[in-house]
Amino acid sequence: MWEEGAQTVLLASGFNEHWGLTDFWPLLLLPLAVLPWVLRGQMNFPHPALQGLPADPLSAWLDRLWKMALSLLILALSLALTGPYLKSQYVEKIGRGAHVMIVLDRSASMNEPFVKKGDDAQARVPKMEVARKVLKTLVAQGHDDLMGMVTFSTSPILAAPLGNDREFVQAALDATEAGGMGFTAVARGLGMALDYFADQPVTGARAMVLVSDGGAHLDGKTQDMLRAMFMRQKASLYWIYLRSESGVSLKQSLAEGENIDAYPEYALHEYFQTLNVPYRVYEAENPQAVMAAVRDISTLKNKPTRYLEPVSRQDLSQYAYGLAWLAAVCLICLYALELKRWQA
Amino acid sequence: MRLRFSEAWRAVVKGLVGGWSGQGSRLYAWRKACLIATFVLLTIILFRPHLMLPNRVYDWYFVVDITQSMNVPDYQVAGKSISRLQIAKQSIRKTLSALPCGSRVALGMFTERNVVNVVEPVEVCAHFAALDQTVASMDWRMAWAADSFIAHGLYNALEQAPELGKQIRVMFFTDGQQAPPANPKYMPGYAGKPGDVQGYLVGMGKPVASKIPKLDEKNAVSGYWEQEEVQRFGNFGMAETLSVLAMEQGQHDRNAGHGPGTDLLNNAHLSALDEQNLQRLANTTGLNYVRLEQSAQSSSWATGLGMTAWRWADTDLRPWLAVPAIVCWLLYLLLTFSGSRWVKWLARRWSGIRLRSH
Repeated sequence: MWEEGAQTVLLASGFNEHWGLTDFWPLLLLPLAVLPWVLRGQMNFPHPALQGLPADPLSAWLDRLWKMALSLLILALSLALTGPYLKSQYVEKIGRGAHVMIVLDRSASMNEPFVKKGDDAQARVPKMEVARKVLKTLVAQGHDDLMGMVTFSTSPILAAPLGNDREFVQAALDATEAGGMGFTAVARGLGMALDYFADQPVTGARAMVLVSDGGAHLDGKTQDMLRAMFMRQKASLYWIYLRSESGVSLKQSLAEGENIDAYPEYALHEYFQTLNVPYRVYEAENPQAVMAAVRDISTLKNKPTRYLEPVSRQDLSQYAYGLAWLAAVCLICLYALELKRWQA
Repeated sequence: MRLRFSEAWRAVVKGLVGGWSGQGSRLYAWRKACLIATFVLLTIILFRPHLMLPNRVYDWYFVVDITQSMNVPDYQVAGKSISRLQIAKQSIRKTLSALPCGSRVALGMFTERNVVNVVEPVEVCAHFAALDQTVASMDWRMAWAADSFIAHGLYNALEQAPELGKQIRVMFFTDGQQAPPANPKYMPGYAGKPGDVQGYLVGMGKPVASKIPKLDEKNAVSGYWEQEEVQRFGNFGMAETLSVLAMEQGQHDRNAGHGPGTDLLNNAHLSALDEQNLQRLANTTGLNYVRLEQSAQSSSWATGLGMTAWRWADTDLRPWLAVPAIVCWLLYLLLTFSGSRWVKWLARRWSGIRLRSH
C-alpha cells in the first residue's frame, strides 16, 4: 500500500515523464542531514558553571543557523549527485540567413557515371559521389543559414530537419554512400521539402537546392500542384544538374525537330522555368559552376527569426550545487565568528 | 572575596584549556582544514569542471520497420490505440534522452529487403534536436516499396553496422510481419557469425492478429487490407513436389507454383507479432529478442549491461568533487561533535581497528 502511494505521488509529480534522476544511490546520503540535530557534545570551552551564565538568544539562533547550514549543505549535495534533470525542454534560438532545403536525388540512376571531359579514370565517377562533393562544399559554407535535407528515390525521406546543425547534415550526406535505388520521384522530394515550410510565416529567403540528374517525367496534375506549392511557400529553386553520359546540356536549346520527351531533364528544365519563382540551373561540370551556386545561395538573406529547438535534457544539478556552496559560505562565516581562544 | 573567586576561576579555565589544547589544537586544525576543503571543492564545482576521460557510452543504430503492418494500432496508452510505428518512434525518442552524452546514434529505416541508413552515427547530446526531429518525421510513406522481407532487412542492417562503427549495437524495431508470405526454402542465410553485432531485436505489437489499416492522406483509416488484395506470389521458385506420382494423387505444386498452395496465405492480410520468427532470427544472428510492451522499456535495454562502449568523452567532474566534499563535511561535523558519546565510541572503534592492523 505504501508503495502504491509512493507510485501515485511520483506519477502525479511527472516523474520520468517530465523529469528524472540520473542516479538513485545518493538519496541514501539524505539521512546524514539529521546528524547535526541529534549529536550532542560540541567543542566547547569548559566552564564550571554554565548554568550561571544568562541564556543568550542570539547564540542560540546562531547555533540553529549553523545546524541548518550543515543540513542544507548535505541535502543539496546529495540531491545534486542524483543528477536531476528536466525532460523534453526547448531552447529558443535565433536564426539568421536563408532557409535552405537540400533535395538530393538518391535514385538508381545516380549510380551511373557522371559526364566529365578529360582523362578516363575520373570519368567513371558516379553522379552520387559528385553530388556529395558538391553538397559538402555547400554545407561547409554560410554558417548563418538554416539547412535541412530531403533525399528521395521512389519516396522522399527527411534526412536532416531544417536547423543550424551542419554536422548532422554532413552525417546524413555520408549516409547516402550506400548507393541509390528506385526511381526518381522529383516531385515527391520537392513536395516534402516544400511541406517543411508550410505553417510557417515567410520571414525571408527560402531556397530549394535540387541536386539531381533530372531523369523524371512529371504529369500535368503534378506539375500544377508543385507550381502552386512553390508559389505559396515563395521558395526559389536552384537546380544543380548532374549530367549523365547520355544526357544533354541544358545550356543550349534543343535542335529543331527533336522530341522533348526523349530528354526528361530538358523537359524538367523547361517546366521549372514556368514556376514563377526565381529559378537557376547550374551544371556541375566544373568546380567554378558549383562555387557559383554556393555563392548565389549565400547571398540570400533572412530576417532574424526565433524558433524553438528541443534539447535532450536540462540539467538541474547546478542549482543544487549552488545551494550547497551558499551553505558552505554560511559555515565559513560562522566559523569566523567562533571563539578560537578563551577571552575572559 | 570576589577578586579571589575570579582569580581561581581563571586558573581553572587555564588548566582545563591547557589540558584540552594538547590534543585539541590538532583537532581544531583538522576541523578548520575540513571546512575550508569543503568550501574550496564546492567553489570549483561552481565553474562546471569537465574533462575528456574514458567514459561509459553507448553506440546505437536504431532501425525502424516502416512497412504498413506497423500501422496496426494494437498498443493502448491511456485508453487510446496507438500504432506500432508511433510506439517505436516514441521509444527511440525516449532512449535518445536517456543516453549519456558522448554516445553516438545512427538511424535507419527498413522496408522491402533493405535498410536505408538515414544518418551516420552522431553524438547524441550535441545533435539531439536534429535526431529527435528526424525520428519524429519517420513515416510509413517514406517506404520505397511495400514488401516486407524481414530476414533480408535484418541481415542487411547487421551488415551495415560494422561500417558505422566498431562498437555499434543494433536495435531493430519490427513486428516480424513477412509480406508477401515467402517460401521458407528460399530465405537467405545469415552470412556473419552469431554475436558479431550485439543488440536487440524488438518485437512490436500483440500476438493476436489484427487487420492492417489503409491510411489516407490525412492518416485516417480508409479501409483495411483484405485477403483478396494480398499478393499471391508466395510460392516462387521450384515446386516442392516434382514426382508425377504425388501430382497424380492430387498435389499440383508445380503447376500452381504461383498459387496459394499452402496455408501461408490464409491469414496474410492480418498482422500479429510473429514471435516465433523473430526468436528464430534472434537465435541465428545472436541478437537478444525482447518484446516491447511500453515505450519506456527500450531506454533501459539501450543502457543495459553488455551494451557499453568505452570511449574518451567529455565527462562532468562535479560528482567526482562532490563526493570528497561530502567526506570533508562529515569529518568537520564529527570533529565539531568530538565530545559526543557516539563520536567518541566511533573514534575508539576506529583506533581499535587501527591498532589491530598494526
